[in-house]
Amino acid sequence: MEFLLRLPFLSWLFGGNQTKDDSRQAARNRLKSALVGDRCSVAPGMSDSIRKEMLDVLARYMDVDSQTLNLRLQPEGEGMRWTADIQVVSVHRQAHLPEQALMDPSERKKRPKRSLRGTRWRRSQEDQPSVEEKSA
Amino acid sequence: MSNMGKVIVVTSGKGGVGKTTCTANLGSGLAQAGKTVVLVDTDIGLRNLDLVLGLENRIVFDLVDVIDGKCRSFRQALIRDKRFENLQVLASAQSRDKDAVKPEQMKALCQELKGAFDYVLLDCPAGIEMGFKNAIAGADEAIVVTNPEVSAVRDADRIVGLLEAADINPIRLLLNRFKPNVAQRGQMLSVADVQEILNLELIGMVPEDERVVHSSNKGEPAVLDPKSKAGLAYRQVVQRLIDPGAAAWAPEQPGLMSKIRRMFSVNLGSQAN
Repeated sequence: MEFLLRLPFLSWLFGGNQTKDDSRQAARNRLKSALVGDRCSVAPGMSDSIRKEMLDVLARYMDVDSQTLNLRLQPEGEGMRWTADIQVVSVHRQAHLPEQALMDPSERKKRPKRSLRGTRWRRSQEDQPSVEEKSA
Repeated sequence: MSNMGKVIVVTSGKGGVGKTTCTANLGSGLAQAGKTVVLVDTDIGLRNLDLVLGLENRIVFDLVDVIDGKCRSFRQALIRDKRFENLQVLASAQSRDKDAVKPEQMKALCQELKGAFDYVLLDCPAGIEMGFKNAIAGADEAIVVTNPEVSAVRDADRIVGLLEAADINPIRLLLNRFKPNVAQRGQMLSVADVQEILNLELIGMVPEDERVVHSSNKGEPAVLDPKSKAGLAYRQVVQRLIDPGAAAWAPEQPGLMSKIRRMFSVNLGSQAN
């Protein structure tokens, strides 16, 4: 019976479920990526607040050059890919102990202020060799 | 007065997707189901709801008259529907613009209306400017009307963001002008696609139906037309509005051709085995 499906008219009549002209997928994919872009550009200050929060989190573990933070959102396949990259100046010694960095919030709030004054400053200049050792 | 009604805004972002038709049909359907309903046309300057319902010759006072206090109370401006006495319409002003009303005034009016009716349906203008802000100011819930087209879905997404920001909940989706046959051929977004992309609860799917235009031409809502497929779909949406647990939208009804196709393909399959 299957040879019948090879006849153009009959295949249209009986087997027409697989159409080549599938504009539905195109509509789906284009809409999805357009909406991600829309939502990001529309939400007021969203990328600014992501940027700020990321820098706050990173500051608990390492010194980073905040000017080099690069956030990107691109369509990839059916979904989206969000990427971030940043230049690291040095990694804190405490980075070995994430539980310390994630201590209770009241502690956490005090720490960055201290490190801003002295510790972090020194580290970025003196401790650079140790960072290179780690990355090597 | 402990039993306050619900204020539901019917909105879409994009124009021409069927907001006014939906408002007219859902309002008539709710009235048919015995609820007291008031429909408010908030599209100031582009009055249409009255025409779709065949009430265009009965307007004395309009929305702006009520807001400006030109009539004694909102009741004086309400137009009673021809078919249901528990359905009233508040027409919009034709000669004014969207700035004639402020969001706080709309909010106060909605508050008054929901004390007197089970359902207050607001027909929202297209766009996201002043008219939209006025329309959603007093709304508790929203129905977002969209078509299975990229432009309509994108605008609906934008609208949903604004509704969420305004703390309107629930926001439900009504997919209008759906063509089951075209979707089945993969040439149109399916109901599931639109629902997935917008990530909203679906309150109904209304198929494209020529009879809707005939109904509008005559000033009679399609929901009252027993032969109309769209009318049937609207009746189901009304059921879901009254009882959220009611069965979901009508199953996608494939056309006659695809029914025959399916019948034959099953037969072919069984013979091949």
